[in-house]
Amino acid sequence: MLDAVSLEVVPGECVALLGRSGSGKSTLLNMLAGIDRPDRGTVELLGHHLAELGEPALTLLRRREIGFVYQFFNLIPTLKVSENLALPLELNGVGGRDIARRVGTLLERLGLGSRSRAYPDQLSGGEQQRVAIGRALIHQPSLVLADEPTGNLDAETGEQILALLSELFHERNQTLVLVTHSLAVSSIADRVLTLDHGQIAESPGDFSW
Amino acid sequence: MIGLLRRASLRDLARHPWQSGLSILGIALGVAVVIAVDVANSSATRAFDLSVQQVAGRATHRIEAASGRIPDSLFVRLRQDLRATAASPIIEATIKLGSSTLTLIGLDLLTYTQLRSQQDVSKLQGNGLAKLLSTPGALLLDSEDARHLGVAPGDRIAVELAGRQETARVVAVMDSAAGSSSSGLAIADISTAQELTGRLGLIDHVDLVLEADEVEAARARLPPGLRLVDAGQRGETFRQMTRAFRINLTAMGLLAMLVGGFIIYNTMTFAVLRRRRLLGSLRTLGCTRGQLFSLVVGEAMTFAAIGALLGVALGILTGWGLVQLVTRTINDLYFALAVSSLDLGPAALLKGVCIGALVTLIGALGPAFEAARSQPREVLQETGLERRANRWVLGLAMVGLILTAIGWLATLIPSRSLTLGFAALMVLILGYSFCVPALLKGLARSLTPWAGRTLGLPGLLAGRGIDAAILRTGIAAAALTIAVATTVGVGVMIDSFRASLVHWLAGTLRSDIYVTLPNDSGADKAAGLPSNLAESLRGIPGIADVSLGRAARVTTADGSVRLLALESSSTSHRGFAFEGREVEELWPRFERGEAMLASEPFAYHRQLSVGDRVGLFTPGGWRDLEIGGIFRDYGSDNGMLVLARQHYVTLWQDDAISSLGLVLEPGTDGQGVFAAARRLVEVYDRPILVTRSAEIRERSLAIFDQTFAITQVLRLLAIGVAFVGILSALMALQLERRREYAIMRATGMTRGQLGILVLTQTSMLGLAAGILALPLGLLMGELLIQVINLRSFGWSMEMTVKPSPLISGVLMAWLAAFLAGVYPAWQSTRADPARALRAE
Repeated sequence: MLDAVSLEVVPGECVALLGRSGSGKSTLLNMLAGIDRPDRGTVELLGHHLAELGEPALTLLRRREIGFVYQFFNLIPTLKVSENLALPLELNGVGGRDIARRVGTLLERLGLGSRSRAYPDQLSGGEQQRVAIGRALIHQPSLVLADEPTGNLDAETGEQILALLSELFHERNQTLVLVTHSLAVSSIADRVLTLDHGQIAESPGDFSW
Repeated sequence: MIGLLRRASLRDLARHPWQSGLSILGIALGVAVVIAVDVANSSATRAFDLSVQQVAGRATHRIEAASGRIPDSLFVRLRQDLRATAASPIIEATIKLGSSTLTLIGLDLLTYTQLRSQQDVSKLQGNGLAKLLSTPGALLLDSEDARHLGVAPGDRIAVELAGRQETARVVAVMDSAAGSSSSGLAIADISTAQELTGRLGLIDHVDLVLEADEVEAARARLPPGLRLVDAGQRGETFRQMTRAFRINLTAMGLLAMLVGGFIIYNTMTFAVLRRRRLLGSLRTLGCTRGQLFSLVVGEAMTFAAIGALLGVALGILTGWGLVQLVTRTINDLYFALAVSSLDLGPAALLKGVCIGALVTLIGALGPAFEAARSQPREVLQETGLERRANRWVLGLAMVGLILTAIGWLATLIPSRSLTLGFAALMVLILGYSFCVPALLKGLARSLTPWAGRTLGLPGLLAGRGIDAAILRTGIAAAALTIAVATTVGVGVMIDSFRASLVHWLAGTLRSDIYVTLPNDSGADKAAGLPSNLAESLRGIPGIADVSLGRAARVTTADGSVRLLALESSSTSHRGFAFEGREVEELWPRFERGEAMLASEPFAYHRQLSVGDRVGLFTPGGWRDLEIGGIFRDYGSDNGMLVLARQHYVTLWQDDAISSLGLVLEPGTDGQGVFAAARRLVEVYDRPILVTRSAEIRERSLAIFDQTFAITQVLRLLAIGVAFVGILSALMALQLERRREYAIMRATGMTRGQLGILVLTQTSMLGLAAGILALPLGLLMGELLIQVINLRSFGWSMEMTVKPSPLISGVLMAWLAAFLAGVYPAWQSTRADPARALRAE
């Protein structure tokens, strides 16, 4: 799927990965998160060689240092909005009072103050993706991985979500790796890389998706 | 587990009330059956212990006579010779008061007070000890029994004993105190009991209190023909006699629990499959494998807790119904027993709850491991598990084949252990159930083209759906297969047993008419038919031959056993069907008293074979007799011995006759001889029964059917649990396919077609489970006959396969699956396609 890919992302950078379906974008994202392992080569994250880490250590690394945003939101359907946001904090052992404060602040920031007690299936697609972004950022991970974050939304909502993601990312000075097949989405990135047949290139080239 | 995960999991259970409810019901039914069987067994045992305790009181030992009775005069001498602290003569008999069967206990009330606890004595004294001594025909009843019979102190009551009607008077009732209930007993003074039973001048045995250092001296002082036994031995005898029966019931209960375990496995697997994306999400958020494992196990334990609570309540209710059936079977097969209360000890309830929790835990382990194996990438990939399904199904089938082979080989181990037999059977069942998904896959593939041709697209989709969702359909089918195979196996066993019984009765009942004492009181040594009756009957025209029999209970080193002393007619020898070899010249040696016959259960339980010798306690002391042949006998699972009557008379000095068999001359009017025989016996002052052999045959088969009523109830319960399982599985399956169905609706499939699709699928599933249940059912039938029945009761029989249990098994499976599909079908057709398509 990926062939001789070499990529370095520095802290605070926003990198967009563009590519056709099947080009290996999601595989690369999974490798960065330690979900998939490369046959050859190494993945280093925050000074850790992922290949050297066992499954429990990888889980802890993901829990503390990585936030995920998916195309299909993947919220926990049986948790309310505020509880979905609180979940990464609780997993990281943050105290109840601190959780409430941070969730409250972020809810306002996401514009979901009035929807905190709603379940995911009571929200619109845009609202669900806001919650997903909030959940990916609330525990202040070093790296945020977003897989087609606007792929399941209409153009207008997609733009709003992208603006929100960009704002929050710059506010918090986090690192963002964004997978998309949309040039518009990649516009918020500091650097745009393209993937084609497992090969990486530094510019969008002549792709027309 | 952390709070939010637990909250999310509990809410998920609440959001799927049908699946959660059915899982809970599955556990509850399993726990209920286990508790009900346990409570029924322990209640019967406890009732027996109480009655033993009530009769024996503080007595440490009992003196029994080889001849069955002790003359009054000998008792007086014994009391002086043995110098026991206390000794009371006892008469014990089964009587009928109204609709209740009670045990009449006659005792010397003056001595009796020395044998009782202070509590009992004061209870007795406060309840008219004096009246019992002074009133003719006086009886003392327990307050529970008195209330049940609707009698009060002073009332007269009809007593039926061995066909005789007598009248007694209730002089007092005793209050039932906790733990010292006298329920099921009617207490009388010894002289009243002697009058009521017609045992004038005789007593059954002597209860006495001996210090430990007096026992051997007392034993040495006993005259020949009497023996001293420990009072506690009776309870042990009861346990031994009913052990196999109780183990069989327990095994049936555990089988229901095993089916319950499948439901748990089923439900939890669905819960995991349904949430695989969610579980993947949790893994990317940083949930550890341990947390996901705990999440699933925690859910299962929540089901277990609620299910067990419901199961306890349901078990107590079912137990009450079951105890009546257990008591009836014990009464039919063993001895009179009245159970007035349930033994609801915490141990029985706790055992049921623990088994329920354990089965749930085992059932949930697989899905919990599957959840823990969830990969974060499963968020992005839809069907990680489904892709593994083919490998999984094949792997499972291989394990299943190995387990089936192990189970089968374990039954071939030359052992008499019933527990090992059941363990082997369980392993075999489990092994076969593992093969079901692979077999179902094959069946579904072969049935699909037919379904497609018959029902069009819905039929085709239904068949392919079973194959595609084999992880889910396979487990549901396995649960149903086990339940149906159980009913087929037990059905084959009952049919085989019944056929063997019919064959045995035809061989055994060689005479055309039988003349006996009522209620088989031939075992009562004092009772006997009039000595001139045989001669009188021979005078009736049309009677070719008369055989004489004497039924008695004799003592062996392993307890008492029924003995039939037979003075055979020319035809009665043919009634014995021997197992294995016989000694040479059996019948001449039998007639000379050199050999006796042992029934198959007697020989099996004592591991005896032809040529072995058995010690029998006779009035002249212990005598060893050789077994000349082992015959098939379904009359009692505790065994029987047959001896030439002449030899019995010599050894036991008892020449009474308790049964006569009349063989008619060919072409004789049976009705005429029957009427003549009845007229003849009416002149005697005691009740004598004249019965046609056909009537005995019918009555025996009725008792057989009644005995297996409890088995039928447990079969139905197992089917009930499986029905819940299949309903739960189908509900989950249809729920998971909502989106798929919505797409079909959106692309033009009508509600009717969708309904046909769902019902065709469930019908195919049921039909396949029914067909797959047949080989397992036949195998179970074979093992129940060759291993379980033989080891339980010592009965061997030929396997008889009738079409009815096989056809009804397949139909039952289809019907259960079809009914279970009705609600999901209705639900699928009602679902709003737009909403289902929107839902993720």
